[in-house]
Amino acid sequence: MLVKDHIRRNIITLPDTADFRQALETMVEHKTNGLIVVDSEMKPVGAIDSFLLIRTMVPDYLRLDPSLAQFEPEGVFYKLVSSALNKPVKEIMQELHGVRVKENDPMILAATLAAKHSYRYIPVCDDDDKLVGLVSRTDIKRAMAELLNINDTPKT
Amino acid sequence: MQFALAVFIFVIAYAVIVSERIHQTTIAIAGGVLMVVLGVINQEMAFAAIDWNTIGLLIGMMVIVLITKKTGLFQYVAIRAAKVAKGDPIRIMIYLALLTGFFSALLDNVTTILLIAPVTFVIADNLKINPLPIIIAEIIFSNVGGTATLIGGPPNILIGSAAGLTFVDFLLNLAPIALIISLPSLLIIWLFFRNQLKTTEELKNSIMRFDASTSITDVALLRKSLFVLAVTMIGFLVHASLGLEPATVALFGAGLLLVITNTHPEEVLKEVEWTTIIFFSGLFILVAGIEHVGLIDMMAEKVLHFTAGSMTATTLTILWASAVFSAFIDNIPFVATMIPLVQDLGRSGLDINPLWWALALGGQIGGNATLIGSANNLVAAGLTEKAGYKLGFKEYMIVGSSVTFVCMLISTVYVWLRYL
Repeated sequence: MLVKDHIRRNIITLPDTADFRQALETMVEHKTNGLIVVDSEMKPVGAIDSFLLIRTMVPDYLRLDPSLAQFEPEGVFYKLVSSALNKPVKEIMQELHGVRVKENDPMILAATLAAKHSYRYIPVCDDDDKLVGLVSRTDIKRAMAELLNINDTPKT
Repeated sequence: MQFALAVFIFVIAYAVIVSERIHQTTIAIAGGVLMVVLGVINQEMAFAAIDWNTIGLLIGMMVIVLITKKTGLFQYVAIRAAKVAKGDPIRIMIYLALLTGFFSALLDNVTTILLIAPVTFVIADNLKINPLPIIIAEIIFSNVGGTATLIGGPPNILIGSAAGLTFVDFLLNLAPIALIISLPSLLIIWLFFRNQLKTTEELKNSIMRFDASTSITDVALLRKSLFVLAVTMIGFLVHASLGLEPATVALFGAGLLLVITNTHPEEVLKEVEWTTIIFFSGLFILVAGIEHVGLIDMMAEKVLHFTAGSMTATTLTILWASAVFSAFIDNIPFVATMIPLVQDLGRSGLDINPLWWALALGGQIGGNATLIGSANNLVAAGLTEKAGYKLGFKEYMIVGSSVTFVCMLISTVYVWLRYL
């Protein structure tokens, strides 16, 4: 089983010049919790997801002592989100550090990378390192099901 | 040749530590090892130079604090303080500053800031005031409180261990002056910020709805922690008469707490600041290198020459020089270097005790003058920035150096009257 058997090609990306607001907008618009960040040549440079947006918004002092958050007055949530809006995606994203697969790589490589790192999507690149598709956790789950002949019709 | 090598390694290492271009622990390891590789001292001497009393005391206290802070005890007390202050910003600032001083006398200063600052931001949010005045007061009092006891901060631990001074010695000699300078410090901070600390009655009431008891996460753990804290403090008070070093007391407390809470050691030990511990080890070896080749002796002679061997001049020189150095560089490497120098001065016939107290006082109080004067100042500034406020270098320095200058004048009088 190869990556190309389970690749998704309708890729939604975020330019590496984007900020927190654009990341949030793109995720909401496309109903996804994760995005691959690409440079101007469509080479993948990072991954961003809803967890990273949340972690950016919640300041250190609350993470140091989560129980304090219950005492925060109304309006603090808005204030925190507002002050995160202009943060560059480059400061929020997880760097990919060269994590990517090619279409002809075995599916187990994509699965291994997904197990080793917490990225929601593993980028699939061509020989020029340009992004051509993604393998998501869902895609890997489907691949496992396919191997076991599990289909999505409910059991009777 | 050895002399030149040792001085070269030390000066370069010191410069890089001060410049913060490379992590200080990396430099301490590299510099310490170079002292051995290049034959300034041998490995045996290098290992013997590591003060295990300091290392043991640091690790022991870290373990106790790591377990205790999980209970929510410190947040509980801070929230109670805000409620006792009835939500009044100025009283909250005073109470939290004093509380910071108290905690800081028992815990290390960085830990104290990490515990007290989050509560401060939440209180300020509720009162719709700028938290900076309170944070500045807390920074200043974390350093003032740290002066008061043997375990208040690494410089005191280093001095106590090298000089064989007991917990009670520190309490009798430094706690009084820490208390004396608290009042003028608060007064100066108040003068700077009294107009910023205003809120409405309604917002004050919002503090009163805080339920401090929800901070306590684990009552059973809290009881055990309080018990061990009490045992450890009593241990510190009587360690000299029991013939035990402070490190033994701290490690006993740490061991006891691990046993009675049945905490998995890995869970706690992975959070011990090993980077700091290794930094100290490397620092001891670096200092041993220049001590071995006689640089410290030369520096001590220079000091004696400068002060003409006068007790008063030497003590006050150490007091003020320590403050000036500590205002701009981390006081830990400074104090570590000064310790053998002071020991040298003691051998020249001067009464060594006042020199130790001058070093400890100057080193701690000087750390208040600028934002880079002490690690806890920088930690507080970092947290503040992440919370959406900017604590600028200049903004802090105006208040910090005013407080430091007044505290130093008072300390000079204290040292003069008491020891000279």
